[in-house]
Amino acid sequence: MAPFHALLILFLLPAGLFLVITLLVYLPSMRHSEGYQPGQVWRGEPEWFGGPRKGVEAIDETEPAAVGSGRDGGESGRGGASGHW
Amino acid sequence: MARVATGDAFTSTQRAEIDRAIRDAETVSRLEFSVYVGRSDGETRPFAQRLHAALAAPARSVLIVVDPPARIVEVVTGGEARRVLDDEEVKLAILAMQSAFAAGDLAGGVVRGVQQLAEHARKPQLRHTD
Repeated sequence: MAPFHALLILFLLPAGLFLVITLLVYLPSMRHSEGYQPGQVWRGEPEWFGGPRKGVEAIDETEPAAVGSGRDGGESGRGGASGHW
Repeated sequence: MARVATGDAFTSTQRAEIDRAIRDAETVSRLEFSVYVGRSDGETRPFAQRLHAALAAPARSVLIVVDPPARIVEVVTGGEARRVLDDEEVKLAILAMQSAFAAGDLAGGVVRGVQQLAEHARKPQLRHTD
């Protein structure tokens, strides 16, 4: 095997693959912004973690009776609290 | 002039952290946790209640609603969830979230809130006496 071929197979190809894989891993997160920062105007789409598959649209299909009861209505014993920052 | 957020509210790393916090909280407390981050449609509390009612199991669900433009955080607990997580404990978790949000850490505040709520809701282990 010519010395150049050995160099190519043993060092250059692995190094090239390493670079390509590293770029593929880090590029998506580098393209992202830092997320929402205080003082910015909110332009983000609502995000619902652990919510129904339909997202916010699901609330239109909810029975009004199920919404009206609770801490403020008393029936289901719903609770919670609020805060402002 | 106010800066405008150019991308999503959370990075993929932050999203993964919130997902993990929710999964851990559900394991610890046996309650369902859900987090909504975004602008409220109308008054925040009634909106949060509508979101909570739309969940799969509202009675044993805990919903955190964070409205960044209005700077309001709401927590709604279902009837069953409230038995192990009273309103005073919810207020403590909200305090923790408020301080993180005020410091500009939206994702960290959400994670901390979920963790605190789960810790408060964690039931003591039953020991068999026989």
